[in-house]
Amino acid sequence: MQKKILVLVCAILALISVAGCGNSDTANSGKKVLRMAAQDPQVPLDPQKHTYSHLLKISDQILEPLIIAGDGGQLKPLLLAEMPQLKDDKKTYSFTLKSGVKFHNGEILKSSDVKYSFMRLLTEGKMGNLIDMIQGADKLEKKESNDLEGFKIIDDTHFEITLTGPYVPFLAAIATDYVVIYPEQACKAAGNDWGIKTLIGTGPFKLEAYNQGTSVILVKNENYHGVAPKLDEVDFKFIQDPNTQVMEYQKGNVDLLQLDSALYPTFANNEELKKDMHSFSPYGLVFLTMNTQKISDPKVREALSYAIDRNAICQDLLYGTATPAKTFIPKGLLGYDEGAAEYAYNPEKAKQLLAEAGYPDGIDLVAQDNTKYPTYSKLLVAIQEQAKAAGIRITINQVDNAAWADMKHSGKMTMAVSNWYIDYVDPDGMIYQTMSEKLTKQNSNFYADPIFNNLLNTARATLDSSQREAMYKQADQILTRKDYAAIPICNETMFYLAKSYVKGFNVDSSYRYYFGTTDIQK
Amino acid sequence: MLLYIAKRLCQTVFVLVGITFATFCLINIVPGDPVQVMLEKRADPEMIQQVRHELGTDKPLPEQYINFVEGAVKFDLGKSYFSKEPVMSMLLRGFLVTAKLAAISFLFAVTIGISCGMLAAIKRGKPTDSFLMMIAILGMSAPSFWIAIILQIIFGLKLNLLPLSGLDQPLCYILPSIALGTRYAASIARITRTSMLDVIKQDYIRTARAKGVKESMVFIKHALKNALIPIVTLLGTQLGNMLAGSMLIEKVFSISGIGKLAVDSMTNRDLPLVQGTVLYIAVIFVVINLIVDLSYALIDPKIRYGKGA
Repeated sequence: MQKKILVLVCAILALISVAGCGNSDTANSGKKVLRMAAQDPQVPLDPQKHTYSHLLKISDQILEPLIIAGDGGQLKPLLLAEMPQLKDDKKTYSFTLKSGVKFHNGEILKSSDVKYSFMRLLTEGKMGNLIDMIQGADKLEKKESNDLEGFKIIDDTHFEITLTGPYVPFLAAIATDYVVIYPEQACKAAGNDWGIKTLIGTGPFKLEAYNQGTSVILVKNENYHGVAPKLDEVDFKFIQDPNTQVMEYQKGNVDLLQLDSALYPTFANNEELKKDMHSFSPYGLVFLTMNTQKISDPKVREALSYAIDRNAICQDLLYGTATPAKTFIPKGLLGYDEGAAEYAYNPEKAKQLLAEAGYPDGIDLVAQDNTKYPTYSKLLVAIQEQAKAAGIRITINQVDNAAWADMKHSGKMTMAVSNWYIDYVDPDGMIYQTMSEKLTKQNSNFYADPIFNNLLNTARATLDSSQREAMYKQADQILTRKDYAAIPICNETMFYLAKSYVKGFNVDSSYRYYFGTTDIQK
Repeated sequence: MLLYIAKRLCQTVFVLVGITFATFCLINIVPGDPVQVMLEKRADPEMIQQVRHELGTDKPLPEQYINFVEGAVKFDLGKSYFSKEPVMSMLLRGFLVTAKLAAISFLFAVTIGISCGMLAAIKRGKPTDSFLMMIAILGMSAPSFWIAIILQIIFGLKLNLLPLSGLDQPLCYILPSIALGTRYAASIARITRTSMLDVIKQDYIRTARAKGVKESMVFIKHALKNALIPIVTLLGTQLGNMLAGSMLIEKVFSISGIGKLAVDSMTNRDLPLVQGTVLYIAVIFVVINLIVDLSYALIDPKIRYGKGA
């Protein structure tokens, strides 16, 4: 009897040992499978309707826009035979589709699919503002028309798009991962299943399965119109806890993951992980946004800027993973002012400015903290402590993400640490989309300087690059050095872990994960 | 007995209506608009209004609540604002995951808890008793997420014996079940010991021993059966808690159960899903309490439900 029990226990232990070991799908099946730890997007995989970055990491492998922005923002045709031609009226672009591009279901890409996708984005999507300068877009959005007047189909591979006026960032805007092209018939037929059971694009990988809450499995598109993908399969495993993600990586169950910034100090000196850690700096910044109606005196806002020790924040709080920001438009984008002086930390100067503004005994301010981002919560506490030396007493109110979004968009926010990462590689995507008069109301900022807004509106319609650059530099100067309507704090660096056998992969400044050229070489 | 069940079920209806009404009021009082969360960057007034209209959140609140109740009666809890999936199917999927995990954790907790409690009672005052009760206090004091992480590090990462996360193979259930069940096992052990010590002083136990009944039979058949009522009451509450989902354990082990659904729905202010999960949890507790009450009669024939119950 005892012998039998012993044999049984040994068998169970052996089974557990075999099943529990981390294993490589590549070794077992001969297939090249990349396994990425990811967060559950919780929504249909439809980037026209949902804009979460977790979703884009997946959809970018399946769906494609007409044009793609390479590293550094260089635009290249993707589904087009060549870059669109701008006509003499400076507002009409002619497009020619690349011939023979097939969707995953075998259908040939046609001009009508592009028009359908643009119209769907305008009427049902969340980022319709990227293309709302197309003639007739406003009527379509308001349901006053059933057609997109400015989109003219010439034949199956040729079409023209006419804008309401010259708009330089247009091509960059349609190169984003929201302006993707869907096959009209299949998308309509799928209805509410689009992005759940069905998602068809032209990308290097096809959706094999979306196991909601668990994983997404993509398989190689054998008929891909570009360079054939080297991977046979990409598996996104939804692992909610960042610590568990790292443990799965250490165990060899995932090959790639984006490291949660809060975990960087824990693993930065881990010899095993250090060699696999890679950094990237997306175009964007962390800044202090303020309600300029509630904190209406620019001198108070300037005092706040002097009260922040950006170097201490970057070195001590963020472990050297960020650099102090000195402009709103980040390095790498047109309009970045290389010569801008670094912000000084000077509590005495801050006190003097407060006295000039009528607050000789200091000032009480309220800030809202979004608990979804623990790193920014720490950052706000640091600012609270630093500002005390300047006589600025900040009360922090913690709110969850839903309450935060509500307060922010309904103008109830006073001050907060916020960030912005561009959707399209153009200064317009950085400064217009956050600080233009049209959009500051929904950011609780309410900044509305006429000269600043005139610069932004003129710059987006100016074709001459050097003129645009000068305009953006001037606008940035007004925003962050004259009116202090937004106070730049730092430019973050982000990290991902990739096994040494994962080749041909990097994340560029536009924050795009792309596995079309990735390989596994063991 | 049937009359008693009917009465309890009638009470249940009022309880459920009360709970859903309270949830509906609270979710509409706390700050946070699901439409603002959904729209993120495109939260301009026109778009907000359009989405509110699509979701039906622009209707008067009483109308929204009545619509929810009407749907619930027909087992239609609406669709999630975010995933657009019917709430019923999301709950069912979450329930299947949570129920499997809860069943294994419950089995683990009951087996370990009752056997340790009995052993401690038998060895009362001896080192075994002290040792087991010390372990029980540790088990009750240690947060379940901490136990989960320690188990992951030891058995998942260092010894490489068990999977770290997910539930895609049977072995995946071992670590989360232990992490979830440890605290419950500890409290079962303590209450079993106390209850057993009360019972083994009784005359009928002495009588059984005097009749020459084997000591193991005295403990299992005579003592344990009579000590079961407080244990069963505790087990009912514990099973309810397990079936309601454990958000921390589910997060650490990447399990998409009811706990994750509840947290996600609250974070996003996804009202249909919040209502659905709250209703589910309420139903679970009501049903389990009813079963526990009815089981008393089976355990102790002196307890009967009837007109006077």
